Amino acid sequence: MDAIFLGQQSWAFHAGGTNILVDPVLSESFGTSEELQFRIYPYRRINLSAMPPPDAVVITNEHLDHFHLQSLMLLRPGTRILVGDLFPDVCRRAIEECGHVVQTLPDERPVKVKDLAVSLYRCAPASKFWEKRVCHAVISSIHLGSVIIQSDGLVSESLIRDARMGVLGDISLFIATNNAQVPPQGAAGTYENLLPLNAGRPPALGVDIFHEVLCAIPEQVGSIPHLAVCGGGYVQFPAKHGHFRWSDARALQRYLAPLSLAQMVHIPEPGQCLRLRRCGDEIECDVTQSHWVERLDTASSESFVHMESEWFQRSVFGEVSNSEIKDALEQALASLNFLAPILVSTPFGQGVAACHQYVGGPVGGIRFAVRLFNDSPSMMTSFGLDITDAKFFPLEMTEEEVLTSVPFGIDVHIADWNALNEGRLQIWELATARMRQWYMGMDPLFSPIAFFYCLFSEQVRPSLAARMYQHIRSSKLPGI
Amino acid sequence: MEALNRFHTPKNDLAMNNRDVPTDPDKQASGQMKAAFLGHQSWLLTTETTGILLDPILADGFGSDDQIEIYPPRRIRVKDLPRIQAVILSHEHSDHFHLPSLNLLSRDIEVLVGVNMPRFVQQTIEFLGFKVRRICSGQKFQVGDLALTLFGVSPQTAFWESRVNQLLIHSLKNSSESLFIAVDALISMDFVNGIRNGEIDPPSVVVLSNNAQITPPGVFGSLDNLTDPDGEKAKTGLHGLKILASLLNGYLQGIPAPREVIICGGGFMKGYHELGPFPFSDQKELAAIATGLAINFPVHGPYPGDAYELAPGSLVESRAHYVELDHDRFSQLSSQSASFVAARRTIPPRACCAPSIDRDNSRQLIERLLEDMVLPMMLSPFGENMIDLREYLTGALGPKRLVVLCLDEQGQPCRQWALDVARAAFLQEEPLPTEELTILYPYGMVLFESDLQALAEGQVQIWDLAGVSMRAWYVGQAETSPVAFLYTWLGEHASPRFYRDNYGHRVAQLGVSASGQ
Repeated sequence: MDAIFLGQQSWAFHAGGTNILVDPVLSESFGTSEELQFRIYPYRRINLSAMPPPDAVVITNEHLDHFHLQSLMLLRPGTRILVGDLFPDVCRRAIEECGHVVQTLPDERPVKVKDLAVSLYRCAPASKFWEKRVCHAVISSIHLGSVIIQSDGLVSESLIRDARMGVLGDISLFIATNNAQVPPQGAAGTYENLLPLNAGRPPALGVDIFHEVLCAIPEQVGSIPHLAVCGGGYVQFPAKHGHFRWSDARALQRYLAPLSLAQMVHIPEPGQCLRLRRCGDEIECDVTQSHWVERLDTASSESFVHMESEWFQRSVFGEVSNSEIKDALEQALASLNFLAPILVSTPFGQGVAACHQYVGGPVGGIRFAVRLFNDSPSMMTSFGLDITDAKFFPLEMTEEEVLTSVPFGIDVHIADWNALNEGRLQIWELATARMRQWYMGMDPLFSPIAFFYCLFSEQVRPSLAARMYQHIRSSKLPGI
Repeated sequence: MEALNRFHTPKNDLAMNNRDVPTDPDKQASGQMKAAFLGHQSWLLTTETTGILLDPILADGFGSDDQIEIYPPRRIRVKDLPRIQAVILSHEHSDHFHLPSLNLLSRDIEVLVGVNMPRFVQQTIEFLGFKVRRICSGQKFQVGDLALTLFGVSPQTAFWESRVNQLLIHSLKNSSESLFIAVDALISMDFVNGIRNGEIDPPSVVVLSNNAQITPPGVFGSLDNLTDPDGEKAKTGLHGLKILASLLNGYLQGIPAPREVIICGGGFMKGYHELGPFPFSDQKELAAIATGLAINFPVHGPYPGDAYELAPGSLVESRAHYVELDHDRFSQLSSQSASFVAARRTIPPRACCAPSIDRDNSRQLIERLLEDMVLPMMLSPFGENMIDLREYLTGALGPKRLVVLCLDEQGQPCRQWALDVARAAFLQEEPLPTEELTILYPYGMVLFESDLQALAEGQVQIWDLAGVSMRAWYVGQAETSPVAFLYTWLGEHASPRFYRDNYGHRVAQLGVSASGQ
């Protein structure tokens, strides 16, 4: 069986005459608008005419780097698409509207795809809210056992049980996800806190990350002869910063391989093929190159860092003109007032309400602020959430005063915020590219952006997602 | 309802509390603070020159029609109350914030609330003619010769109690005898940390809330689970001992043991008319047992009218002359509850609100209510558990996880919706009997259509329906049950619009104009 890495978290599997794609991003970049794209790193081009047509495509989850509608539109209509049982209905309909056939796999039960079998295991309940519906894919072959693709979330008890009990045969390869997305020195990460509360990154952060990804997680399912790791393989255009740390496969291979005894660690580059074959009781793996994935020059992306003041200055969707600004502000306030009671009712909102002290003493009823910008380094206006009324109100404060008197908040450009609320931009894109936040506490999963990841996720906002998919299907985005 | 009329008096008898009335005529030693218990969780805190009411319920009951009677039953002669300078409202729940009671008070009394008190509460009180001041958590302030601090409660508290403020109070003339009133929620971490850091002196006396509201076998409690096979069995046992252990051991951990403890709370009768008072809501009886089980640790459980003076080194008990306990009715209710439990009687669900004539409108209102709650529900701890669940009684689960069944006035299934988590939408279905639904769906709520409509219109509060007319089933803990979600989403913090209308209606009933006249 060949496992061909296509970049980021896309894979192709071949065995005999069977071809399966997993979470395929087949274009050079992904993203839902022309204005903001995420280019697969290291850069590569897929020669679609040479790619064997898939007998099935597995979509492990609905996030934009896994469920890439543009790529599915490049496939022959009628392609069989396999999804988990809680895959959002809105995504299913979008696939069906492309002419493909969606098949829901019952959790943990295999289906045959010619010579191979595919099963999906929903990730563990302890996973983050927005990853709760992610499935891990298991591709099984009679001779070579199973390959586990640990997509994003934590491994569930049932996958551990089935792997350990031999239900999946030998586990020959475990493909782990590195989603740490640590930016280069000096650049802002998605969860960065504008308040100086974070203790800073531990000096041996990479050790922690790869210990978690390659030891703690795979060891739960038993002893596996071959490990691979992927993820964090993209750069933004327009650029916020260069590629993430430890996404240089060759360097990482050099670091990690000597740390292993008798277990093979593979850090593939796009286009590399892990060819699994049985030698007696052992599973061997040869690394070859796929002929239909072409590596491109990546020199231009090396470690360009945009300092915070630069990357945040420009919005994704451009400046709102003077004649339109009043309507845009009203629209923004209406969307904030829609989310206000929801924010208040969630555990995040409870934490916001429980924050009784802030810089300079006790806080009043305004606990969460949105500083709106308009393609400028200076704040245009701001709104504050009054927890005593579950509503946002204009704040008559300077940019600095908002930051020092309200314990939680975000910075966003008004055009981008309204685009998010109209289904023209996804929260994942906005948060990673053009949003800043501040929050009391040290836990990034208890931050405004983490809350927005929940609030704007496809599962709970199907109407926004439906508009987005409609837009994608009717537009000519890069790569199509 | 007959019970409620026992103390029905002409309006002039409940004359407005007057600032000219002399200060507490009960003897009060110079400089000491006295705390008089008025029932449930209402207190009057006085010195010779100062009077502060905490969460006053001065009428015989509270609730949307004052239908929830205070227990033990008592009558407060408002005109005989000592002079009052301020009212403190710890939070917005109807057993603490009672408009008809405030309406009996002089308008020059200042009303003090925490910074997190819902705005509609402030607006409504201001409409009555009072001045409202917001007090920050942890900030010391004075009223007359009493020094006070409000503390926002622990973030671990159940969401619907998370806006509660707890109160530390002492007389300026005797700061060594302080009283901490730990209203409803878990103890404030700001308070605990203040003691640990040496910034706050540990209180000598702590008032704890016994809010257990234990329902005996045969009575469905607010957060009970219809499908819990051990549910009824679990209602038997040493619940009184559990209450004492959690109050006296668990709750107070983190602060030095106070010299004495006072237990109050649970002092009302919900719509379980056949039962009467909750078991273990006779705090005096409970406190006497606790004292017997303790070593040199007096526990007090006041009846309304019992007062405690914080004298140096001890609590001196007395009676407040303006509170009259109805001994006969108290005794009757107490034996009613005991005989209900002994006879193993049961209470069937009953509708709280009359059915609507326009059923199409009713359906639209309910569907709007359900549609609005999908997003917050899926993001809630309840929603997360619901999404995480893999299997139920009939095997692997599909995307439909929660069902809402409406009953008509005869108690027959009439409408049904199921939440599909892959669509993030409620879908209407053919109604089925509850027994079948509890097998098909891991989570469900069954209630009268009339009540769900009234809920959608803001005419009834979720607190009034749960247990009495609405029953739920679920997998997991009560804290992440469907009702816990509704308490959160339809509570005062997240859905103030319902309460604004509701209290506006109440103000109109009181006949108060904008000037507070």
